[in-house]
Amino acid sequence: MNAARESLARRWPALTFDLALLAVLLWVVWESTRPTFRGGHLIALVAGFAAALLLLVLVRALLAGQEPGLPIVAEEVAALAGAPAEGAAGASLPAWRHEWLAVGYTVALFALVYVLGTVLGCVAFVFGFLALHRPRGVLRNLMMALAVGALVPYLFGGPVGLHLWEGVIPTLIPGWIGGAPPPPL
Amino acid sequence: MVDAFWAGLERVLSAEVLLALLGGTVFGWIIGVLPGLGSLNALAIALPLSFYWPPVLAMYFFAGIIGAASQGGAITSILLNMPGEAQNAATMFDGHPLARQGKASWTLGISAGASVYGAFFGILVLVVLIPVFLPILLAFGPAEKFWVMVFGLVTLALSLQGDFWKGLVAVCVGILLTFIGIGGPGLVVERFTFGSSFLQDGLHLVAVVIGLLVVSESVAYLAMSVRGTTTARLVADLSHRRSFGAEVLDALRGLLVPFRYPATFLRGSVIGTAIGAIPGVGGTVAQFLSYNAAMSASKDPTSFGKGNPEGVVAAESAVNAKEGGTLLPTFLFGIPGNAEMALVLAAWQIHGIQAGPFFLERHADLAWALILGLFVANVIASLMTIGTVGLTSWVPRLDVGYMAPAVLVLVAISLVAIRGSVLDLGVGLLAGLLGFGLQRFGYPAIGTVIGFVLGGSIEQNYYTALQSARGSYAVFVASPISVVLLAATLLAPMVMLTLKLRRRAAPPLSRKRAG
Repeated sequence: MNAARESLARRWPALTFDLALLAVLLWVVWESTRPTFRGGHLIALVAGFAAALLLLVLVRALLAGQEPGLPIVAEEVAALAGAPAEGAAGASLPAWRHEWLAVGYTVALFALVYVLGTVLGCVAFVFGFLALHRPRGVLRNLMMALAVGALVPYLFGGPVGLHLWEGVIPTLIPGWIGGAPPPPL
Repeated sequence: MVDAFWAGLERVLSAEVLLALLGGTVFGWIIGVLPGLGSLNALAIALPLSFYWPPVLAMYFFAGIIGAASQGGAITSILLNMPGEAQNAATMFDGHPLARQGKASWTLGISAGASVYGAFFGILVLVVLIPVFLPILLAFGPAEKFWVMVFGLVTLALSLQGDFWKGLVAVCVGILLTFIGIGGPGLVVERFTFGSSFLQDGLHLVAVVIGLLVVSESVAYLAMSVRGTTTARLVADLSHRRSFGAEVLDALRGLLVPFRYPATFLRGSVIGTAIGAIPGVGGTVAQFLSYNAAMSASKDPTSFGKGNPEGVVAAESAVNAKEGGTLLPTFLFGIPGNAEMALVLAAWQIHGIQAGPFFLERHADLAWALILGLFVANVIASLMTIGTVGLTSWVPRLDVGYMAPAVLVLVAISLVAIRGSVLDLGVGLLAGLLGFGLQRFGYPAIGTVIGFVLGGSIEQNYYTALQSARGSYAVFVASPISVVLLAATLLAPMVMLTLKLRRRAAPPLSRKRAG
């Protein structure tokens, strides 16, 4: 019984993902088979086929145990690099927390860019991240933040002439920071 | 085609093309040296820039990146025992022990030589096979094109790591993503736009591809940083460093080593080219297959993993020969041979260029730009590798904690720069989270990418075929080509799954590695 519980505890994230994906696929099938839908029957075919396969995968997973995830390239490199440095801030956390933190940081970066603009958002993100995870060397962190967060966007936006998002905050530096109207969805 | 080849060759020698090639090569080489990063990151960053260049110049730049990144990755494999890219992992097994024996420069020369010769082999095969396949392809109608893409996706799912059924699901998810927006078989209608004017145009190809492939990897890279992973240290003994001239001479001698192992080199190059031609299968598979084959064929297999130069030849020749192979399905069918080609296809689509049988007729200059660019980039990268052998100590102790946020920021900038729209950033983010989740739970994200890249063409050919036959499904089995492709699509999974089951039942090959 304990072994079964442990197995389920280990597998619930994957099962949750699979079920969520199945729910989306079934919803697509339902939407695309409504009489008022004029977008073609291929959608229902593809979604239905995928849903059927996923049901097969789920049944097999429930009966025989979930297969492990696939290696992500960066993790393969990490495995070859060796153990985390001693005293590293995140070293004591379980692996799944690192992933959730990384997801959170990614969302935070994109939110910062939306609000503050490309330049300020990137600088704030890099500096904030380094302040949390590489707290020694404030000046080095600031230089890094400015180099990556400001210099690179400047190169993209200046000499190359690409338009970079300025952010929804009030205008601080015209054309660079602030003043962009929220885009219509 | 021949005229285009000579024109391409002449163009390669022009200043602006050489500059683009050099720029891409240097950029790709540096990114390749950085552990955990690869040509995908470099291409993702460069993709928005390519909008502002003529397509041909952009192709030369991309060719530079693709051709050089794996050589850059080999350097860290050999010196740091840490692959710059996953496809350079097998190079470590013998490359690093050789470096520890004080033969770092010689080994870098072997790697550079095997890379260039392997790339040349792959490109030669491509050039020879294109005229063979082209007349056949011109006989393809919409039904045949539909089946070739379906067959390509099924073989892709078979070739990917992990579960075949999950691979197919991942591909289907990618195809479904292409249905978002305005479309349909008859009068176009809004599909899954939820009333959003932004989604009416569909999901931007570049944003989705970068999100699925690069943002997802960046998230994993960031997780490494959170975990506190630092660098691999430079282990090679540099206490007896010789003069720069002596190091370069050693490297030049290394260039000749692949010729001492002609069978290994040829076997590796054939494996690399063949694997490259199968959509979705990357250099990692090619490299390990070649390495294992070389070890099995060797008279002294126990010497592998302890500093056998033949191991480096096997690994590097396969990785670089595969580049020629990946161009074959990309040019002929519009099916990306690997993740890098998916981004190249994205760049073509942005410039309004469609891949397929007529691509080589209408855009021969682009094709030759990639082909010649790949070869020249390999040569330049080899020269760079040899030219920096005496400076191995400069390879810094890289802290992933600093690199990871920088990589994510660069990718975010690229997404914003696509159209100057922050909504593309949102698309990239969501695609990235989807890609991360897919990969984490066993669904190969590359399958989703290629499904997304091909989804539009699959739908277009499907409905065109049906309309040409006035709605009769018999059109999909009307021609011998369609029947053969349909049969292959159904048989391939059965054959491969049977082989997999047999392999699982067989005893595993033993392989020793040096500690």
